[in-house]
Amino acid sequence: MAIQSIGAVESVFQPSAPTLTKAADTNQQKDSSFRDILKNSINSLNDSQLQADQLSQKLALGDDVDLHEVMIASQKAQVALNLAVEVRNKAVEAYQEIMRMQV
Amino acid sequence: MSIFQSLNISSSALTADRVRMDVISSNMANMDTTRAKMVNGHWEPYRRKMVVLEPQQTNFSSYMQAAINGGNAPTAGGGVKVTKIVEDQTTPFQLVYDPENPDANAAGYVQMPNVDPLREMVDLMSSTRSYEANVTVLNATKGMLMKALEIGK
Repeated sequence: MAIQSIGAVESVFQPSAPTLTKAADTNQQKDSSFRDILKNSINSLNDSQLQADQLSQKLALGDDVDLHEVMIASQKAQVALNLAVEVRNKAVEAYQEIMRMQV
Repeated sequence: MSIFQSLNISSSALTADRVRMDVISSNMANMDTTRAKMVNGHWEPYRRKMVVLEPQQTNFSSYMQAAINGGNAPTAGGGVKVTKIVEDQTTPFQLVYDPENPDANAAGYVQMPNVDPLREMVDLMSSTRSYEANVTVLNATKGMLMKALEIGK
Protein backbone atom coordinates (compact mmCIF):
# COMPACT_ATOMS: atom_id res chain seq x y z
CA MET A 1 0.00 0.00 0.00
CA ALA A 2 2.72 2.42 1.02
CA ILE A 3 4.67 1.75 -2.18
CA GLN A 4 1.63 2.46 -4.27
CA SER A 5 1.06 5.79 -2.62
CA ILE A 6 4.68 6.80 -3.25
CA GLY A 7 4.23 5.88 -6.89
CA ALA A 8 1.20 8.13 -7.06
CA VAL A 9 3.20 11.02 -5.63
CA GLU A 10 5.96 10.37 -8.15
CA SER A 11 3.49 10.50 -11.05
CA VAL A 12 2.29 13.85 -9.79
CA PHE A 13 5.82 15.22 -9.82
CA GLN A 14 6.73 13.60 -13.15
CA PRO A 15 5.58 16.34 -15.56
CA SER A 16 7.73 19.04 -14.00
CA ALA A 17 10.84 16.88 -13.82
CA PRO A 18 11.91 16.99 -17.52
CA THR A 19 11.71 20.78 -17.70
CA LEU A 20 13.87 20.99 -14.57
CA THR A 21 16.60 18.77 -15.98
CA LYS A 22 16.45 20.63 -19.26
CA ALA A 23 17.01 23.93 -17.50
CA ALA A 24 19.93 22.43 -15.59
CA ASP A 25 21.43 21.18 -18.85
CA THR A 26 21.35 24.55 -20.56
CA ASN A 27 22.78 26.13 -17.45
CA GLN A 28 25.65 23.69 -17.47
CA GLN A 29 26.31 24.33 -21.12
CA LYS A 30 26.33 28.04 -20.54
CA ASP A 31 28.73 27.74 -17.60
CA SER A 32 31.09 25.30 -19.18
CA SER A 33 31.84 27.13 -22.41
CA PHE A 34 35.59 27.43 -22.82
CA ARG A 35 35.52 31.21 -22.95
CA ASP A 36 33.67 31.48 -19.63
CA ILE A 37 35.95 29.03 -17.89
CA LEU A 38 39.00 30.91 -19.11
CA LYS A 39 37.49 34.23 -18.12
CA ASN A 40 36.54 33.01 -14.65
CA SER A 41 39.91 31.46 -13.95
CA ILE A 42 41.76 34.56 -15.14
CA ASN A 43 39.51 36.68 -12.95
CA SER A 44 40.17 34.55 -9.89
CA LEU A 45 43.90 34.63 -10.67
CA ASN A 46 43.72 38.40 -10.84
CA ASP A 47 41.76 38.47 -7.57
CA SER A 48 44.40 36.45 -5.76
CA GLN A 49 47.13 38.77 -7.07
CA LEU A 50 45.14 41.83 -6.01
CA GLN A 51 44.50 40.37 -2.58
CA ALA A 52 48.20 39.69 -2.07
CA ASP A 53 48.95 43.23 -3.20
CA GLN A 54 46.37 44.75 -0.88
CA LEU A 55 47.60 42.76 2.10
CA SER A 56 51.23 43.68 1.55
CA GLN A 57 50.19 47.30 1.16
CA LYS A 58 48.24 47.12 4.41
CA LEU A 59 51.25 45.62 6.15
CA ALA A 60 53.49 48.37 4.78
CA LEU A 61 51.01 51.01 5.98
CA GLY A 62 51.03 49.50 9.45
CA ASP A 63 47.40 48.35 9.43
CA ASP A 64 46.19 45.53 11.65
CA VAL A 65 47.12 42.56 9.49
CA ASP A 66 49.04 39.42 10.44
CA LEU A 67 52.40 38.84 8.81
CA HIS A 68 51.62 35.20 8.04
CA GLU A 69 48.40 36.20 6.27
CA VAL A 70 50.41 38.40 3.92
CA MET A 71 52.88 35.61 3.26
CA ILE A 72 50.15 33.03 2.69
CA ALA A 73 48.27 35.35 0.32
CA SER A 74 51.44 35.87 -1.72
CA GLN A 75 52.08 32.11 -1.76
CA LYS A 76 48.52 31.50 -2.96
CA ALA A 77 49.00 34.08 -5.68
CA GLN A 78 52.26 32.42 -6.69
CA VAL A 79 50.70 28.96 -6.89
CA ALA A 80 47.73 30.31 -8.87
CA LEU A 81 50.03 32.10 -11.28
CA ASN A 82 52.14 28.97 -11.76
CA LEU A 83 48.99 27.00 -12.46
CA ALA A 84 47.88 29.57 -15.04
CA VAL A 85 51.31 29.49 -16.70
CA GLU A 86 51.19 25.69 -16.84
CA VAL A 87 47.74 25.77 -18.44
CA ARG A 88 48.95 28.36 -20.94
CA ASN A 89 52.00 26.23 -21.76
CA LYS A 90 49.78 23.22 -22.37
CA ALA A 91 47.49 25.26 -24.63
CA VAL A 92 50.42 26.61 -26.66
CA GLU A 93 51.88 23.12 -26.87
CA ALA A 94 48.61 21.76 -28.23
CA TYR A 95 48.40 24.61 -30.74
CA GLN A 96 51.92 23.98 -31.98
CA GLU A 97 51.24 20.28 -32.20
CA ILE A 98 48.31 20.99 -34.47
CA MET A 99 50.27 23.52 -36.56
CA ARG A 100 52.98 20.93 -37.17
CA MET A 101 50.40 18.52 -38.54
CA GLN A 102 51.07 17.48 -42.18
CA VAL A 103 48.22 18.36 -44.50
CA MET B 1 36.84 22.13 -1.65
CA SER B 2 39.24 24.72 -2.92
CA ILE B 3 42.83 23.79 -3.61
CA PHE B 4 43.78 26.39 -1.04
CA GLN B 5 41.68 24.86 1.73
CA SER B 6 44.66 23.35 3.53
CA LEU B 7 46.51 26.66 3.26
CA ASN B 8 43.50 28.34 4.86
CA ILE B 9 43.43 25.77 7.66
CA SER B 10 47.12 26.32 8.38
CA SER B 11 46.49 30.04 8.26
CA SER B 12 43.80 29.77 10.93
CA ALA B 13 46.21 27.79 13.12
CA LEU B 14 48.89 30.46 12.69
CA THR B 15 46.38 33.14 13.64
CA ALA B 16 45.34 31.17 16.73
CA ASP B 17 48.98 30.78 17.73
CA ARG B 18 49.50 34.50 17.31
CA VAL B 19 46.61 35.14 19.71
CA ARG B 20 48.14 32.67 22.17
CA MET B 21 51.45 34.51 21.91
CA ASP B 22 49.67 37.82 22.53
CA VAL B 23 47.99 36.43 25.65
CA ILE B 24 51.28 35.00 26.94
CA SER B 25 53.00 38.35 26.30
CA SER B 26 50.25 40.06 28.25
CA ASN B 27 50.64 37.61 31.14
CA MET B 28 54.41 38.11 31.22
CA ALA B 29 54.10 41.88 31.01
CA ASN B 30 51.57 41.98 33.85
CA MET B 31 53.52 39.63 36.11
CA ASP B 32 53.70 42.34 38.81
CA THR B 33 50.54 44.35 38.05
CA THR B 34 48.63 44.86 41.27
CA ARG B 35 45.91 47.15 39.97
CA ALA B 36 44.03 45.38 37.20
CA LYS B 37 40.46 46.13 38.26
CA MET B 38 38.53 47.62 41.13
CA VAL B 39 36.43 45.12 43.11
CA ASN B 40 34.35 46.45 46.05
CA GLY B 41 36.60 49.47 46.45
CA HIS B 42 39.81 47.40 46.52
CA TRP B 43 42.27 46.89 43.69
CA GLU B 44 42.51 43.33 42.48
CA PRO B 45 45.74 42.15 40.83
CA TYR B 46 45.97 40.95 37.25
CA ARG B 47 44.61 37.48 36.61
CA ARG B 48 46.42 35.10 34.31
CA LYS B 49 44.62 34.85 30.95
CA MET B 50 44.20 31.76 28.79
CA VAL B 51 42.81 31.17 25.30
CA VAL B 52 40.05 28.72 24.48
CA LEU B 53 40.56 27.03 21.11
CA GLU B 54 37.79 25.36 19.14
CA PRO B 55 37.73 23.63 15.77
CA GLN B 56 36.07 25.60 13.02
CA GLN B 57 33.05 24.39 11.07
CA THR B 58 31.51 22.30 13.78
CA ASN B 59 28.34 24.35 13.91
CA PHE B 60 25.02 23.27 12.48
CA SER B 61 25.17 25.43 9.39
CA SER B 62 28.44 23.91 8.16
CA TYR B 63 27.03 20.39 8.52
CA MET B 64 23.87 21.55 6.76
CA GLN B 65 25.98 23.00 3.97
CA ALA B 66 27.94 19.76 3.69
CA ALA B 67 24.70 17.78 3.47
CA ILE B 68 23.30 20.12 0.83
CA ASN B 69 26.47 19.80 -1.21
CA GLY B 70 26.02 16.04 -1.19
CA GLY B 71 29.16 15.34 0.81
CA ASN B 72 29.37 13.28 3.94
CA ALA B 73 28.65 15.19 7.12
CA PRO B 74 32.16 15.12 8.68
CA THR B 75 34.21 17.29 6.33
CA ALA B 76 37.98 17.72 6.45
CA GLY B 77 37.42 20.54 8.92
CA GLY B 78 38.04 24.22 8.66
CA GLY B 79 40.93 24.75 11.01
CA VAL B 80 40.94 26.25 14.46
CA LYS B 81 39.69 29.43 16.03
CA VAL B 82 40.04 31.24 19.32
CA THR B 83 36.53 31.43 20.72
CA LYS B 84 37.28 33.29 23.93
CA ILE B 85 39.94 34.39 26.34
CA VAL B 86 39.27 33.37 29.94
CA GLU B 87 40.86 34.38 33.23
CA ASP B 88 42.42 31.85 35.57
CA GLN B 89 40.05 31.78 38.56
CA THR B 90 41.48 28.70 40.28
CA THR B 91 45.12 29.61 40.89
CA PRO B 92 45.25 31.82 44.01
CA PHE B 93 46.99 35.19 44.12
CA GLN B 94 50.43 35.19 45.71
CA LEU B 95 50.79 37.13 48.96
CA VAL B 96 54.03 39.08 49.23
CA TYR B 97 55.09 40.98 52.35
CA ASP B 98 55.70 44.58 51.28
CA PRO B 99 54.30 47.09 53.83
CA GLU B 100 55.44 50.14 51.84
CA ASN B 101 53.40 49.16 48.82
CA PRO B 102 50.31 51.37 48.42
CA ASP B 103 48.22 48.24 47.79
CA ALA B 104 49.34 46.47 50.95
CA ASN B 105 46.62 45.34 53.35
CA ALA B 106 46.55 46.02 57.12
CA ALA B 107 49.01 43.19 57.81
CA GLY B 108 51.44 44.53 55.16
CA TYR B 109 50.83 41.87 52.54
CA VAL B 110 50.28 42.65 48.87
CA GLN B 111 48.31 40.39 46.56
CA MET B 112 50.40 39.69 43.47
CA PRO B 113 49.06 38.27 40.16
CA ASN B 114 48.66 34.50 39.79
CA VAL B 115 51.06 34.48 36.85
CA ASP B 116 53.81 31.87 37.06
CA PRO B 117 56.72 32.95 34.79
CA LEU B 118 57.97 29.37 34.43
CA ARG B 119 54.58 28.20 33.25
CA GLU B 120 54.33 31.12 30.86
CA MET B 121 57.75 30.28 29.40
CA VAL B 122 56.65 26.70 28.82
CA ASP B 123 53.45 27.92 27.16
CA LEU B 124 55.52 30.29 25.07
CA MET B 125 57.76 27.47 23.86
CA SER B 126 54.76 25.29 23.12
CA SER B 127 53.13 28.09 21.16
CA THR B 128 56.31 28.81 19.19
CA ARG B 129 56.78 25.15 18.31
CA SER B 130 53.15 24.86 17.31
CA TYR B 131 53.58 27.89 15.04
CA GLU B 132 56.66 26.32 13.48
CA ALA B 133 54.83 23.03 12.97
CA ASN B 134 52.01 24.81 11.16
CA VAL B 135 54.48 26.69 8.97
CA THR B 136 56.00 23.30 8.09
CA VAL B 137 52.56 21.97 7.18
CA LEU B 138 51.98 25.05 5.06
CA ASN B 139 55.26 24.62 3.21
CA ALA B 140 54.55 20.93 2.67
CA THR B 141 51.15 21.82 1.21
CA LYS B 142 52.72 24.35 -1.09
CA GLY B 143 55.33 21.80 -2.09
CA MET B 144 52.56 19.37 -2.98
CA LEU B 145 50.78 21.97 -5.09
CA MET B 146 53.99 22.86 -6.91
CA LYS B 147 54.76 19.19 -7.46
CA ALA B 148 51.28 18.70 -8.89
CA LEU B 149 52.05 21.40 -11.45
CA GLU B 150 55.00 19.31 -12.62
CA ILE B 151 52.74 16.41 -13.62
CA GLY B 152 53.26 15.62 -17.25
CA LYS B 153 56.53 17.46 -17.68
